[in-house]
Amino acid sequence: MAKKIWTNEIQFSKEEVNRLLQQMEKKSRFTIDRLIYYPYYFLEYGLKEKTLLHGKVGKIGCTIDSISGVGSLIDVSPNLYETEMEGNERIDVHLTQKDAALEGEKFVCKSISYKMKILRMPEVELQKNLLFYRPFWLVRGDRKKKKFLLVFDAVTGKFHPL
Amino acid sequence: MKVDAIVFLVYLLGLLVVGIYFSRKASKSVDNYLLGGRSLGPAVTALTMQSSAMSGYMFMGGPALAFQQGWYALWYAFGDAGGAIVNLSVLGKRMRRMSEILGALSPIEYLEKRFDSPAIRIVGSVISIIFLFGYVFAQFIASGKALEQLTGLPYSMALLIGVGVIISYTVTGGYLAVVWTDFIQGIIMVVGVVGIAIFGFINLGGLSGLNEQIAQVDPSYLSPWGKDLAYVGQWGVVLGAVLIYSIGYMGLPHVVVRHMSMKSTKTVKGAILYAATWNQLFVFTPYLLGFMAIVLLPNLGDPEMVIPTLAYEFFPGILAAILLSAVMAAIMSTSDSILMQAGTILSRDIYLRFIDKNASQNKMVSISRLSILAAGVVGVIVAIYQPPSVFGLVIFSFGVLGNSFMVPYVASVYSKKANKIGVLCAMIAGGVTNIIWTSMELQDITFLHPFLAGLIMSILGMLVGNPFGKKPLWIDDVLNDVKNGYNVPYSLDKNVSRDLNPEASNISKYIDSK
Repeated sequence: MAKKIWTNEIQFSKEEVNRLLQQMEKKSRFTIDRLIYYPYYFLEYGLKEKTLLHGKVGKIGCTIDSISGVGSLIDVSPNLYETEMEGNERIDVHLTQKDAALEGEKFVCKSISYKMKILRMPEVELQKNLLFYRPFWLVRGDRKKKKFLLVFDAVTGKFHPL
Repeated sequence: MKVDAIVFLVYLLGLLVVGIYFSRKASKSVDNYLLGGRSLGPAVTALTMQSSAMSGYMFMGGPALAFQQGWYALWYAFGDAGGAIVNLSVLGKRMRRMSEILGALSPIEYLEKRFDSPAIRIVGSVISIIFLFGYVFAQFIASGKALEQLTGLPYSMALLIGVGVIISYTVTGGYLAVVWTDFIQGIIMVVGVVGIAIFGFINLGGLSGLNEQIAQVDPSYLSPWGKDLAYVGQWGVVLGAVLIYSIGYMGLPHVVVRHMSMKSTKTVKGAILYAATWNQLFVFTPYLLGFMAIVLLPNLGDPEMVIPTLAYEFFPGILAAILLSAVMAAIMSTSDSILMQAGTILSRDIYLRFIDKNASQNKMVSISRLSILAAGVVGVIVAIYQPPSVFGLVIFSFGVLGNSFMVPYVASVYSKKANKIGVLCAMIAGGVTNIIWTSMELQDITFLHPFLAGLIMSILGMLVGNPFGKKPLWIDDVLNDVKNGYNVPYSLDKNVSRDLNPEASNISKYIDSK
C-alpha cells in the first residue's frame, strides 16, 4: 500500500553507483538491483545554557536507527522531502517515536559529556522528531562466478557487504 | 614580564578568539550542528589529527631518550612506525570484523561483549583510567617545563599555572571550534620542527656529518645497544622496546561516537591516509633532533628540553616562543580530550552501570569533572614531589596498558577456548607484572624489559585461567565468520564503510524474510 514518507534526495544514481564500484573493482560485474528504504528518526535538540564565553550554546542533531536503536551524530540538518511510496521497498520500524526520543536524549547527553568542555550538562530540549527513510541501493556483484551482495548508501556513497 | 611570556599570552588569546569566532559561526548557522564534525577536506583534517596526536612525549620524551642513548632510541620509533602496519594487516582485519558482529564501539566494550563478562569491563576500565591519567601526568610535566622556559618562573609555579590552565580549559571551554585552532597549531609545529631539523642538518653536514660528529663525542651513541653499550645482547630489553608502541595503543579506550553524514563525503578516508603518511614522517624527526643535540648541546642540563633549546638556538627569540606556545597549546589540546575520556569512562562505564543506575545526566557530568579535578591535584603533587621523566611515565603507562590488553585481544580473534576467567587472569597478571618490574627496577637484574616480562606473565595467566571458565556458546560460528571475512573482492573490502554494519545486518535480515 502506498504511504507518504519523508526521505533523502538520491545523490548517487544507478549509473554512478556502477561507475564508482567498477573503478574500485575492475574484474567484477555489478548489477544495481533496487532501492531499499531504511528507517531512522531524525532528532534535533536545542542546547540552552548561559555561559560566560558562549551565551546560548546552539543545536545538536542526531539520528536513531529505528531498528537497532543505534545513535549517530549528524553534521547538518538533512535535506528531506515528502513522497508517496509502496510498502514493499520500506523496512518496518521497530522503535516508537517516544522510545526514539528517549534513546536520542541518552545518546546526545553521552556525546556532549565526551566532547564538550562543560561543568554542567546544558538543558537539552527536543525540537524535532521525524521518521524518515534513507535510500540504499542493493547491488549484486559477480566475479568469476563468485557472487556477492552489497548495500550502497545512495546519499553518501558509502557501502557495506551483506 | 619576559617577552616570551607575552608572546605566549597573546598566542593563547589568539586561539581563544579563533575558537570563539568559529563556535559562534557554527551555532548561528541554521543547518549546522555542534559536535557534528565538519567537512574540511582531507589535508586539513589530517593536519588537525596530527596536531592533536603531537603530545608532550613527541616534543620532550622522545628527543630526551635519543639525546641520552643515541641510536638505541630508534627501537621505540620502529615499533611506533611499524606497529600500525602490523596491526592493520595481522590483527586489525579480524578485530574489525569481530567488533562489527558484536556491535562494540570501544575496545573495552568489545572485550566485555566478546567474553560475555561485565567484570572484564570493570577491570579494563580501571586499568584504562589509570593509564590515561598516567599519560596525562606526563603532559602536565611537559607543560610545566614548556611554561618554565617561556615565563622564566620556577618549575613548580609554572607547573601549577600549566595544569590550572589545562583543567580550566577542559571543564569550561564549552564548544570551541578546536579543529581550526588545531589546524593553525599543526602548521606552526610542522614548520617549526621541520625547520629545526633542516637548520640542524645544514649545520652538521647532513646525516653522515651528524653521525661522524656523534662518533667523535662517543661512538657508542651510534650503536643499537645504547650509550656505553648498556643493553648489549639484551634482546629481552630491545624486544620490549619495539613491542611496546606497536601494540600498546590497542588498549587505548578511544570511544567512537558514531557519525552519519548527511552529504556525500570522502573526507575521512583520505584523511586517515594522509595522517598515516604524516605519522610516518614525524615518528623519526624528534629522535633525529635528539641526536643533533648530542653534538650541538653537549652541556644541556635537562635532556627533555632538547627541542625548546634547539628552537632558541636556530630561530629568533619570538619565533621560538611562538613554536613553544604552539607546543604548550598542543599539550592542552591532547590533555583535554584524554581527561574527558577518562572522566566519562569513570562516570558512565563504572558509576552509572555499577553504582547508581538512576544517576541524572548532571550528576554524571559532575562526577566526570570532579575526577578530572582530582587527577589535576594528584598530577601536580606527583609532578612536584617525585617528578618522573616524561619518557618514563609514557612508557610505563603504555606498558601497563599493552600488557593488560594485548593477550586478550589476540585471543579474542584466534582462540576458541579463551574465556572470561582466562582473560581476567591475563589482564591482571600482565598489568601487575609490568608495575612490579618497573617499580622494583627488575630489568637491571633480569635483563628483561618490563613489557616483555608482563607479556610472558599475561600469556601464562591466560593459560592458567582458561580451564576454570567456559567459553561463550556462540563463539565457534562467529570465529569462523571472522576468519573467513566478507565474501567480497579485496579491492572492495578495503573500502567498506564499517560504520554501516548495523544497517547492513538489518537489511540482510529484511531480504532473507522476503
